[in-house]
Amino acid sequence: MTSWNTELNEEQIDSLKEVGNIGAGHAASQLARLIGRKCVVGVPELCVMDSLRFDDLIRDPDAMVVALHMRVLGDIPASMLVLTRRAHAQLILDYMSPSAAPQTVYGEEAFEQALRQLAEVLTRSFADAIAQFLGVNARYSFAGALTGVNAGDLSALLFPDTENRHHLAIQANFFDIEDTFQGKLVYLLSPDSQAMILERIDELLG
Amino acid sequence: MSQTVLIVDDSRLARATIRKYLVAAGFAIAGEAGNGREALEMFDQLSPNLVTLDITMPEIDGLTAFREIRKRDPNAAVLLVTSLDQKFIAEEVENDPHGAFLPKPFSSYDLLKAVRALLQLEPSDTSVEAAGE
Repeated sequence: MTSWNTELNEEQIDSLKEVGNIGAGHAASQLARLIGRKCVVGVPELCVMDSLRFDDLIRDPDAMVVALHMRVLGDIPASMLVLTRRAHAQLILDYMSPSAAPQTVYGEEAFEQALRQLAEVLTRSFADAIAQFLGVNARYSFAGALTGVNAGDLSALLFPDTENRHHLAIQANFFDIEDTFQGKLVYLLSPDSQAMILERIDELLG
Repeated sequence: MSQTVLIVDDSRLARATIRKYLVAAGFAIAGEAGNGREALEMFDQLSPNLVTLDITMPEIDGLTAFREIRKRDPNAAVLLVTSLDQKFIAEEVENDPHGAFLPKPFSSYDLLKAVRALLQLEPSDTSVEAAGE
C-alpha cells in the first residue's frame, strides 16, 4: 500500500485536476444527451477526504440530498459519487422522461432505481474518459443510491470507517446552463490510484 | 517560417500535451495562456496562425474568448479543445470555416489532423515550414 502523500506539488495537483476535468466533462456531456439540455462543469478542485465535509459540497447541511455512489474497479480503483439536492434529482429524472407528466411522483423504490441508472451512466462516462486518457482499464460495480439523508450525515453514512477516510477527492460542479439544477461529481482516489495516475501522466508526457 | 500556435488552457498538463504533439510535428508555439483574458491579450500581441482554446477556464471562459476573437478577426483559425463533447459547442463552429472542435481526450493524430485542416495544410505533410510558406 502506497503511503498517503499530502504534499502534492503544483504540477501534480494540476494534472489531477485535468483528469477530473476530462471525467466531469464527459459525464456532463452524457447527462446532456440524456436530458436534452446543455450541461457544463465548473473548474475542478482537489481536497483530501478526511477534511471533506459533504455539507460543504452542498452548502446547506440541512438540505435533503441524493447521493449516488459506484465503485470503479480495474487499474485505478476509485469511488464515484454524484451528489445533488433531492428536488434537483427529481428534475433531472423529469428531463430524462419528457413524455411523463412534470414532477412525476415516483415511488421510493422506482426513484432509487432510476437514480441508480443515472449513477451508472455518469460514472461510466466519467471513468471511461479517464481510462481512455490514461490508457488504463476500468470496470464497475453496481450503483447504490442514498435518497433520504441530509448533507451533514452523508459522510458518516458513506464512510463509516473513519480509518479509511484518507482519500483524495477530485470534485467538480455540474449544472445545466439555464441553472435549473446543479450537483457535484466527486471522484475518490486511494493513494495507490493517485500514484498510478501520476505515473501514467509522466509516461504520457515522456 | 513555421506556423505559430497560441495554446490556451488552464491546465498545464493539457498545455504540455498539446505543445508536445505540435512541436514534434514542426509547429512553433507562439505562447501559452491559462485563461480567456490572457488569451485575448496574447492573441492581440502575438497574432498566431492558430489558437487552441479550452472552454472551461477561470476568469473568461473559452466560448466568451472565442466570440471575442471572432469580433477581432473573423478569419483567425481557432480550435476549441474541450471535454464538453456537446452539440452546442460543436454548433459554435459548425458554419465557421476557420473554426473547429476537438473533444478531450485526443490523440496526437486527432490534434494534428484538426490543426492541419484549419491551416489548410496537406494531411500527410509533416514539413510545416514548407507548407506554411
